[in-house]
Amino acid sequence: MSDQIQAITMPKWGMTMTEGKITAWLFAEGDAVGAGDEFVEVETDKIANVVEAEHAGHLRRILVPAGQSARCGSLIAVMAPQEVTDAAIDTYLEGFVIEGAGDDAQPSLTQRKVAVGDLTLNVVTAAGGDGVPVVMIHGFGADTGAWMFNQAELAVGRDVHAVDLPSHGASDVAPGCADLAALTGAVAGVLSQIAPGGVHLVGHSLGGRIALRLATQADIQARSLCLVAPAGFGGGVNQDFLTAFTEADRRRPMKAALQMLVADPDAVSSEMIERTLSFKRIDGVPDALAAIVALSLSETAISDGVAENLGQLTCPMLVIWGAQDRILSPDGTKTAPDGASVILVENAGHMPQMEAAASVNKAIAAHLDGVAT
Amino acid sequence: MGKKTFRAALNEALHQEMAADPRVVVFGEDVTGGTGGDGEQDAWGGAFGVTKGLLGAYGRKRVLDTPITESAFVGAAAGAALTGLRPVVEIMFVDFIGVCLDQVMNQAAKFRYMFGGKTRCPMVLRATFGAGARSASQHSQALYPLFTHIPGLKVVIPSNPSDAKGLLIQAIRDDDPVIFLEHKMLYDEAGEVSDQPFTVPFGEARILRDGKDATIIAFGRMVGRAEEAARMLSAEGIKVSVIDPRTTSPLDTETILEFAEETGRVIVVDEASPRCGMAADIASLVAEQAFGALKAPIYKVTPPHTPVPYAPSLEDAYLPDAARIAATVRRSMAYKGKS
Repeated sequence: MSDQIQAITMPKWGMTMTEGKITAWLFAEGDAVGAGDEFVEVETDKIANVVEAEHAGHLRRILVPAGQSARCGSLIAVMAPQEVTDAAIDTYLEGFVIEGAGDDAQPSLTQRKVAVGDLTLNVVTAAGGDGVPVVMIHGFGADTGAWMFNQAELAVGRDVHAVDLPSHGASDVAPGCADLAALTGAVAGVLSQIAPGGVHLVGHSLGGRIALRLATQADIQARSLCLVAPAGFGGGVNQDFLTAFTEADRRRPMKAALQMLVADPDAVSSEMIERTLSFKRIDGVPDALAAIVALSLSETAISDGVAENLGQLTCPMLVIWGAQDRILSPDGTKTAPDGASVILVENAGHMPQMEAAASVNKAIAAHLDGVAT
Repeated sequence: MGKKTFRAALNEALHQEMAADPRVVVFGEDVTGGTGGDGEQDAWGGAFGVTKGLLGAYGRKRVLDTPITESAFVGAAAGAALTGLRPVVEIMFVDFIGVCLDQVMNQAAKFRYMFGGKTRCPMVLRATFGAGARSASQHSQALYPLFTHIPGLKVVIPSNPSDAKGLLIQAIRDDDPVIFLEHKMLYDEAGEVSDQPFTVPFGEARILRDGKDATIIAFGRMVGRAEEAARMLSAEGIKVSVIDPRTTSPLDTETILEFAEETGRVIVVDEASPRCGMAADIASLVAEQAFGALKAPIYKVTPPHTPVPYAPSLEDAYLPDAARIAATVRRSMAYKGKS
């Protein structure tokens, strides 16, 4: 019976989140909840988000009421079909082991540095099992935090790694590593160490372009490819955004630039603005970003469209795009090769993996499960 | 990245700037941790451990212990800055500024202006400040309004380890005299700090929380207490913004006015004495330029106008705390105008 009982645990959004506060339960105990329904609001000091139900069920037990906080990984509610008895749920609760409980427990996200030649790149890992690992590659100006709502969620049966690109996040600043070949080479160097026996690639924006190029290299052994609003598909990158983002050195202009990334302008928090400005104020980063724009994202750099021969790709491909994307037009989906699955996400801009995390996670999970490993 | 203390973040900033720029020199009382003798050198790395390891890395030509004469070594810093060095001098407690105020107020602050813009005085004066350490009236003051009052000085008050590092690097690279004030009760606070050198510009506030109901503006150690108050109020359904201006000169008036206009309720928390302090300064700014948006009077949360008491119970009562800040926000929320 317990296989029908679903544990609802406090999510972990990024390295620094240790606990979250329930701000509201959107369903009452006993209510039926559909898959994809938003059912609980969670906030931390830095971020607030709505959690969507992965599977349908009845919300049988709320263990952490609204207004209270809980550690990441701890049980906050139980869902189960109506026919499961209360006694069975009680038994389940008694046997439930809280992941990550106690101060000595292994955190669900770990961080390490991987050396590739002279460069050191930062890799964040969500441990999930022995299956072929997933490696996630973020876009221009972002970092592994771009996957904060996805990484731990997808680490089921396999590890999910997220890489900070050169001159991004906690990786080395390297203005000389800026064209597509160099960026791809750096990530390939990481893959040879963390995923030598094959990999599922997930890339967003510029990271999508890099993932696409990696997938054409035989030594990478790409088992599947998931591209979220990838650069290089269809038209060029919104050059106004690139200019606004690279020039913004204060809060207000940076807010305006970041708001171009999302469908809902309120999604841009002061924390995101501060974090992005802090990144741009690291010595050498402005020069490195300018070099990446010139060599990998400018109109001349991107005008070739997809440089790769899509026909050569044999692994399953999923393309996800936000319908309100103002950075890379969702028309890019038309460039997807025959046989690729294409999902257009409503009410999402250039960051569908954050703005519509639950549906994107579900699509990626199904895509991964559909690939024979 | 990694968690570092406020103290370690400052130390890292000094190390990185000294490594990058040979013009950066450090001097003050006990900055090498001892008497200048060989026996116990760098045992502590200064009275508060901030300059630890600099002597070994950069030698006695760039890291100097001075006699206990602030008037001499602060004056020397101003002169060294005029002639091409980038000195970082340490006054152990900002309370001692009295004996060397002329060097700061009449000399360093005025050089650029009085020499027709033809000179630069890139010195940093670091000093600890603030109450809470049971150090009595002469070692506990928050004198930043004194410096903010003097044109020609930049005044910096970091509230967390990351800002401490970024603001100190900015201060060292800045071409004007910078008064850099470190709250002694924050030295052991830890937070995420980037390993790489980075800057935080002067005159840009940090927004710690976004809330539509009221705005709390706080400085230094009071920022953490304002956040604590904001958490308490959030549980009651009152959502407040918390703003840390980070520098009092230049002051990010744009952000302060933006949030004042957005929320209509402004509470300023200032550890300095209430008269002629930052709370009064910001209250006047908001009253003059955002009056129409206000839904309640601007409230100040400050210590009383007395010296800092020595008795622990009195010192604790003297300082604004989260409960007082939260109570003041509730008072603002409850304000109904003339009845």
